[in-house]
Amino acid sequence: MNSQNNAAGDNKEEIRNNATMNAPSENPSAQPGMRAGFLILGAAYIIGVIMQNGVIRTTASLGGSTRHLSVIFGLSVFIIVLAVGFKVKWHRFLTSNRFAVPALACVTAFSIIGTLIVQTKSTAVGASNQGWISLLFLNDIFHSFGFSAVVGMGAGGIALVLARKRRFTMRYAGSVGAHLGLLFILAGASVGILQGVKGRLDLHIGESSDRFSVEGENGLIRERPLGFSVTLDDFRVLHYDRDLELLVYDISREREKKLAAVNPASENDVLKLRAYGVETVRYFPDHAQEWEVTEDSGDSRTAALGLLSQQQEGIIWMFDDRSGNFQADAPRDVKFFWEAARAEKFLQDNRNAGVSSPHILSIGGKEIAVEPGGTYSIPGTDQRLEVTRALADFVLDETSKKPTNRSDKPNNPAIEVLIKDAKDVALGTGWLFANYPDFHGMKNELSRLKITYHYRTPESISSLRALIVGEREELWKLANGEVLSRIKMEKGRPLPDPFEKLTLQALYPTVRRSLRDVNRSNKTNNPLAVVRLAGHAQSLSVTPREPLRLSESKVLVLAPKGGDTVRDYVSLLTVAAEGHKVLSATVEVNHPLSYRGYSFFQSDYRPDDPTFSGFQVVRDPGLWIVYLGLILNASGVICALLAAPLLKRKKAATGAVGGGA
Amino acid sequence: MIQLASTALMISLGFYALSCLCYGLLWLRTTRWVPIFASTLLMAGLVVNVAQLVSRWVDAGQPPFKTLYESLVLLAICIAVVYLAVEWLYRARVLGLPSSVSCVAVILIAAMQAEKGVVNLPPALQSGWFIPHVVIYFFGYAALFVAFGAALLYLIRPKPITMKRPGLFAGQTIQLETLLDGAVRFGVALLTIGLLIGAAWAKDAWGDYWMWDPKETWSLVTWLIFATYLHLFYLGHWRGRRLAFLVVVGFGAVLFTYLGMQLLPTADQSAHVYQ
Repeated sequence: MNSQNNAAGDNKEEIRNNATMNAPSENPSAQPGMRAGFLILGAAYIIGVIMQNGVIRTTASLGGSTRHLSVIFGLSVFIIVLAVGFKVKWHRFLTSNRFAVPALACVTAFSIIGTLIVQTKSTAVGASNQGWISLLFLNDIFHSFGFSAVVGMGAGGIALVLARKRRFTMRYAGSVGAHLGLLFILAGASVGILQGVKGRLDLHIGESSDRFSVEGENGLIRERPLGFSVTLDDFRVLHYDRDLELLVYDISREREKKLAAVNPASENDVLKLRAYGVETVRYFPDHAQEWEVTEDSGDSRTAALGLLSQQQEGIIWMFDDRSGNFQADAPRDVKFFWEAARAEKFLQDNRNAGVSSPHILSIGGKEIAVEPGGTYSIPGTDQRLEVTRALADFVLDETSKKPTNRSDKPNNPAIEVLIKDAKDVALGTGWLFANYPDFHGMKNELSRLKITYHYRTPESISSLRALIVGEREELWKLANGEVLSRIKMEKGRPLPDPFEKLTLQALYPTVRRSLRDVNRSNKTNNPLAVVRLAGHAQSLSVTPREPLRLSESKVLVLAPKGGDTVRDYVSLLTVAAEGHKVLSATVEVNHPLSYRGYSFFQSDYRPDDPTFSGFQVVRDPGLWIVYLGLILNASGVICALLAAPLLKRKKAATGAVGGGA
Repeated sequence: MIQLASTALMISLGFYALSCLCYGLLWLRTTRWVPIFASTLLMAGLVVNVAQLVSRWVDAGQPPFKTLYESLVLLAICIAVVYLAVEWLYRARVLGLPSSVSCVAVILIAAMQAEKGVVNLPPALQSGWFIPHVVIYFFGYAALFVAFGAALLYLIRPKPITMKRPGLFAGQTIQLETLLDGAVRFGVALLTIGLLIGAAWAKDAWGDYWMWDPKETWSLVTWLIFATYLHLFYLGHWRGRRLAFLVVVGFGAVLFTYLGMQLLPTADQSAHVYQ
């Protein structure tokens, strides 16, 4: 209470005590004011801009890093401030709040600018020119020479202040700690930028690598050795147990608006969707489709074979509609024919065909299998397409910038095609990518022709192990397309080896069949909602991946409640050095793996490729300095801003009690 | 459970609103019981608020700090706690009205949120740093809310306030500057620690302790504004209205950092923007 009454007196005392933090004389007329501080800092920024423009032109062709130079420039400014600060006249100014406040204000202003202007890597020559914004490096402000100069000047002022002697108090000790901590943080960050490295490592399960990719400022990707190898043994995406809800969104606005959210399993809740034209909903948390098959003596042309498996519930149906085979979840190494003659013809035809090509081009909706070196007519035109090269795992070589094969595995299949006209004149050439059907990097002819490339894992008759012939109730064992034996099957008994896990359940020459929706379990393994819209006879389905458009502006979405369902990404990495396994560890978000100065952070995954895991690889020799700075800063702040005032209050209260007594 | 939580929220809103009324009455007439009611009602609102937060924590099985709704509920708790600490330390209720108004406003905004359901924590937030980072930061924000109230009052009435009868000040003379300064220092200390924890956490999660993410940058901007306050405090001619105005500006930065990120053109680059 006395401290409150003496507040005015205390304030004067504080100013006196802290006078040494400022210039001994705060007489504005004797010292440069804050305006001078702003001018000096502004000039430093402009000098930085001029220097950076000069440096970029010099280093661009050398591939140098302007970010490193920016840090060096900032350090140079810091040293210059220290040197200048030893002169008494400048020392007083540089260690005063009349310099500190403009420095703080400038860093604040530049930070705000950095959030108002989209930041890009503008330091490379050839980066997009945004006029004065690029000229002043405002679109990469945090890595600009000017910003480094301002920070360097501020750091110089802090260092000069710390060098001054003070009367020891708790607040002073805290202030020293806090400011020293800042210097350590800046020093550690500088070391990290100058000496550290950051890159990426992308692996599929089973893959190893002893190098990682680093992207330079000009977009060039270089590979750097790790000095040891890393293998991705396993990768899992763990999901939350999820309840799902049906949501109606209005997508006519710039930002989608949720109009309704209902529990799809609740009949009452679902009634709310009638307002949006949804009449009925059948919800399947674990959806599957089952065949309903009945023997038919009418005009059906489809024969059916039903097998019971020890490994899955329900009957596996195979159909022969006499024009081709139709299999549903059937073993891939077995085919079903009703008539023996057709089975014989199939064997005959495919023995001669050999292995089919995995390269399939779709041109105007028609598919053709192609081979490297082959030339093919383009339907509907007089042009021809020549396949010049095929790569299983396309990548651009870092030095030659030429396409090359990274591995034999079809991770990124690509083929190079050349389009020629009737007179053999080349009209265009380019690469087509199986994983990126919309991209072909080619203008003119390819884009007009709408050619897409698919890669299909090669199949051949040699992969077939049996034919089942319905009319004879026989299983024909095959090896390399030749019939080894024909074995009679019996209903209710397991098939012959190697298919003994399958039991013959049904065999019909003609059937009526229909698919029906069933729920395999109560777990949301494969959620699907079947909806019927007002005025439509046909039912439509909605899944988490496939929303349903209700109208121009409204969509129906089946989405997990609680947003993102991913609970964790877990990679199992093994590190090997000098041929020996050194360690195995799991890497998750917030739990990196560290080895020999490198840290691997779980950073990326691909929903459509569950075997892929991406890592951020970081080596930061300045990290310990930064952490030391964080601890010093936090301790200093606690001392100066929390502990010191409390101690002061306690002292004042004790003094008051003593005084009162 | 959401229905129950909404009811609890409304009850705490009711208590905060009644305490707001009582703190307001203190400025008009002072009686023996009104100040006690004011503090008691605020505490009651705080208790219900905390109970709602704890119940949601238990129900969700995760700290309820992810969504805007959850963070607003936490903020109201923090403002009430910080103000009650100020009231106890300084034996002054002068900041009761702005603080209780803040609690009411925050709870009202929370009640208006369309999304009140529990949202699963993404992998990045499943860290031991999550709770200390958020809690410390929100107590820092709360202190700055209280400081803002003091700054506003100071700008309206800069002279020391003395009340002869029990009420606002229990017979004391109070300098709003003292309360303002204390709240700012406490807030800056917590903002600093929260910022540093955030940097350490970012290093663990992403390999980078500072990425100039818009939210990170604006947290730094807020910190820099209040660091400027601390430095200007020692330039005597800056004391008073100028510093109070700076606190108002700093509070604007706090609000923008907390709620305004999606307005930025660089919002897409941020991992901290509330959806």
